[in-house]
Amino acid sequence: MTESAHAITFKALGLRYGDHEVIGDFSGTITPGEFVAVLGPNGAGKSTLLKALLGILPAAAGSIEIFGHHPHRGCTQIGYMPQWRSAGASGSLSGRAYLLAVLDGHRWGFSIPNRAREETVHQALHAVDAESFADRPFSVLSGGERQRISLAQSLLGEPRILLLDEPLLNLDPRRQGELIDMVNDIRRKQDVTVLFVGHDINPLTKVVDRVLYVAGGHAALGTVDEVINTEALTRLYQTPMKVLKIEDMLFILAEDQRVIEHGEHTHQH
Amino acid sequence: MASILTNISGAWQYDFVRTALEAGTVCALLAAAVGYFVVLRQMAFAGHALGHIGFAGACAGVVIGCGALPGMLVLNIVAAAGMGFLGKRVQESDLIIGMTLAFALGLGTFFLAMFKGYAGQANVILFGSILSVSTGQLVGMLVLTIVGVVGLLLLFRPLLFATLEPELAEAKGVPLRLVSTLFYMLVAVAVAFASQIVGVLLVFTLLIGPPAIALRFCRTVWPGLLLSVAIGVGVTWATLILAYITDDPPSFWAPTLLFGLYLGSAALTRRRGA
Repeated sequence: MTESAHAITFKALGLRYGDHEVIGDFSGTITPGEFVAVLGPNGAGKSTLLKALLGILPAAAGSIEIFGHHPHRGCTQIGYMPQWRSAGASGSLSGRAYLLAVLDGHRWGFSIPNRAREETVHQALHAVDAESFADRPFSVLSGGERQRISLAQSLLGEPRILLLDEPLLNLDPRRQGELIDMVNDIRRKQDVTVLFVGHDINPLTKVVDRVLYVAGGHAALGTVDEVINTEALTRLYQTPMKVLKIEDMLFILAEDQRVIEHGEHTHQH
Repeated sequence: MASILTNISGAWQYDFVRTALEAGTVCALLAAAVGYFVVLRQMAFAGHALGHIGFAGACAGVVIGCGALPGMLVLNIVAAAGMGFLGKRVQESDLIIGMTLAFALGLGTFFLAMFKGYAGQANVILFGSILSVSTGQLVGMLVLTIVGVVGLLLLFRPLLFATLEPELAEAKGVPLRLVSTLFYMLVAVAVAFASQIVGVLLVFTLLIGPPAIALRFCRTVWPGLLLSVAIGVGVTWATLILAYITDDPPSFWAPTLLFGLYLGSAALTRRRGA
């Protein structure tokens, strides 16, 4: 067994989604314990990158290594928090029931309630301070509470890498801050590597080590200053871009001077 | 009251009443257990459609001479395999399911027209005939129910996982399409059986009713599943007893009882603020 010193290694990685090239020739490494913000416009390929890390989508070119091994489905090193979606009929189940279902859902057969499973779930809920609402139906929880349950789910099995897909979606700024602090706290306590997908660098600036920016069919990995500046983003988007800094806040503008960060305005001109 | 009890105990002497109760119990148990996942997966309409596809199968079975239930089982399982194989996009399409459902009903009518006892058979298939289940049929149902329950227990964890968090389940290595196809087949069997009690038109009530009520009370999976089964079996017993006493068809009592229970549970949980 070769154990790499890197949590994640990208080697000349190329990813395609359908016949659309999402990422081309991307190389870089992520160190264990790093907090990396994965940014870029909608549809640029952030979720595609996560799918490749999860082993659901094979690389079109090059490779990815996770602690020295190729990504594969069922990898226990990775905890994954999927993007927000409405709970539907399963919303009448509690967060605790949801975690119990996820805990050993990959195995065939059934399991009956037992102490060890309850305890594992309890610890995950405790880590995100969700004990107080873990027995209420999912559908009556607030956005922040739901995201905490979902985050707790990603911690099951003590993974070494957390892939969090847009955890700030549907949260107001205060809850966003609380969730980011919580993730950062977990990262330090449990020594996990965090890949945090988002739209906006600003709420994350204080905690991130580096940024992985996906846009224009390319990806760039570096510190906030290295990646989010006028030259670097112009190179990445392959269209003139401008980065403005106002009181420590970063604003990314396209050629037509529209702010393209903050989510919704995504297509380039 | 005493006369009613005498009445019921009198009924118990008849073989066909006992067979009906046993068959009803078996059917309701499987329907309520499978239905719990049907409701969680929000595939009630697909379950409903399987009932109608079952109608075509039952009519074909009658024409061929192998009987309604075997015909229904075969066509339902084939349809379920197809639905599972075609995947999520088809399963969640109201249009595709609706069109298939209508086509199946039309096809069933075509088969029935080829058969002489048109009206009687149609009535039996559409509204059920629990009181005419034979001992041989009961044994077959019992065996298939055991197979169904064992199948559900084997599928239990990946099915629940895939229902609650499909993307994550896929990442953790759950074969989504296989799990969904196998589950559709279980639904196919459950629907075919439930239609023995209430007919294909009202299969819905036994499949969806008990779990819908149970989900209003239970926040965790096992209690919800067991309550669903208890409600399904309880309602079926009450249905058969009431049908016997009042001489009204079971197809009236089962949906009426479940509708009443559902309204009651909705009012109750609403007041609790859950």
